[in-house]
Amino acid sequence: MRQVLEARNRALLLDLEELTRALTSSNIPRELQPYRDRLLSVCEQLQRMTNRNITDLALGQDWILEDVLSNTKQVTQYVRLLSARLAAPVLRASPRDRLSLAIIRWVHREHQITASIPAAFADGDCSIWPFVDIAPIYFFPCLEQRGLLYQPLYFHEFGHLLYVCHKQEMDDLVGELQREIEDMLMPASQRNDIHADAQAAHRQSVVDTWYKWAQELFCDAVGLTIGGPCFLRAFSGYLGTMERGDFYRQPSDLRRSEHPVTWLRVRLLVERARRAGFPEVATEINAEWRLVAGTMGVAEDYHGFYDEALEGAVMRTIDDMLTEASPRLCTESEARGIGWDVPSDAPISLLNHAWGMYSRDPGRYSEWEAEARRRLLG
Amino acid sequence: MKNNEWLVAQSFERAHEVVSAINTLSIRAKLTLEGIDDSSRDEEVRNAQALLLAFLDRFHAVVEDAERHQDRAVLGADPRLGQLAKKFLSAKCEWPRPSILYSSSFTEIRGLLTSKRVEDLQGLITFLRDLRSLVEQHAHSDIIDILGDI
Repeated sequence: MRQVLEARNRALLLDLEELTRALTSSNIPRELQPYRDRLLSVCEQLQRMTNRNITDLALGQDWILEDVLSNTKQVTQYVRLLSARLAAPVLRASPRDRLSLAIIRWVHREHQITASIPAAFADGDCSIWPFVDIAPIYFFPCLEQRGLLYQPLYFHEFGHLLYVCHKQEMDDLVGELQREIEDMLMPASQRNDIHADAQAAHRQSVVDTWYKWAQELFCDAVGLTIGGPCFLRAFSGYLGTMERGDFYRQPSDLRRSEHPVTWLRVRLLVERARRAGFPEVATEINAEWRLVAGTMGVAEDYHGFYDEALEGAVMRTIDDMLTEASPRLCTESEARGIGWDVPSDAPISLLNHAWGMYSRDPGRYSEWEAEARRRLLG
Repeated sequence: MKNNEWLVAQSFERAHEVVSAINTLSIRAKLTLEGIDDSSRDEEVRNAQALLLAFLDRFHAVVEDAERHQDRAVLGADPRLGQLAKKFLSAKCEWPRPSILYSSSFTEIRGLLTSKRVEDLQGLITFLRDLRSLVEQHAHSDIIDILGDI
């Protein structure tokens, strides 16, 4: 076993050397430099771990072989993770990446707890792997990463990173919400039969589901807090695929769901936008979703997974989570998005301005956007 | 926004931290018993001990909640950690109890981790081996979700 492990660790050292060479020689935009530095330091750390494995093997102690085996697995998995996903933003870097990188870098820097976290993203559907030890990586669709309109969706993903940075406090708040939901769903009197068991099972699946739903709704609220109206427009535009599933899901689908029904998310965002002082965009988006629902003949029904009676508790919990994470608040003038001045204005003004330009004249938008992007990136 | 990748990524990272800490402490304990100087690992050992104690405190709270409410998931804990707690409780119910991990209280386990007595090292090694096995088995699906399968 010792020889096998030694050979495996020597192979890992070669992989790490090759990876370091590839990362170092890649031509990257300057916004990606901190991420590359971070990956190179991870490679160094993995090399140290691998060398330590080889040193431990040389002690000749059979007793520790199981520990070295486990450590070797750990390094192997990290090297695979780097090679398969985390190195891609550097190895396949393109000048077109600068826009998304600038937005991610800006939002990280605006928050004390994420200020030193490097920006990186790769192609994919909107998501994030909020690794805090290595570095988080965002995923974003190819088309949307090139334009201004959907950039606000990064703020939702940033919410997941904020959640991890405040994990214990956030989990406690979500736990309180789950308890509140459980209490609300508890019948005044309980029977002792099969029907009662089924009710209890349903109650449990609703409560379980709310752990994931609460985090998603918090991230939606983070997006709106940072981006203002542009987030609501981007969110509605990107998630509104006019599928029946956007509005209604069967109880069995709800039980397995990772995200709340999109219509519910829009409803809660619209309510939050009204409260935040964005009534026009709230009314417009609400009307649009109601129109599509009406055309499809869908009525709101969340099969007990959500009910008007829960709205107060849900909104209050999300408010508390926002207080804990304190994302940057979009200012009134940024939300108006009337104009944008480089470099004094935050990109939020530009993102809100972009939606205004797009709404007014979609035909000439591309031309305007190309110039705005050039001015933003310098 | 895609299936909760954030949840898988968090679980993957947590498992790696915990298993690394276990390995560091396990090697230290074994080399100490063999009388081999391992002082070059002192800082790593201190960090590993702190990390594992913090993990066990959190895990203890989740296990207690899972024990009190066996018919539902653990509230305020990410589902992957809740599932780990349920696996732990299920193994704890087996008889004879498979190891010190399942037969000791969390206070006793804490005591083992912070003990300076050489007599406790054998118990510590057994506990670490079983905790690693529990965490590694549980982390397998996260690894597949993150790295894929061929």
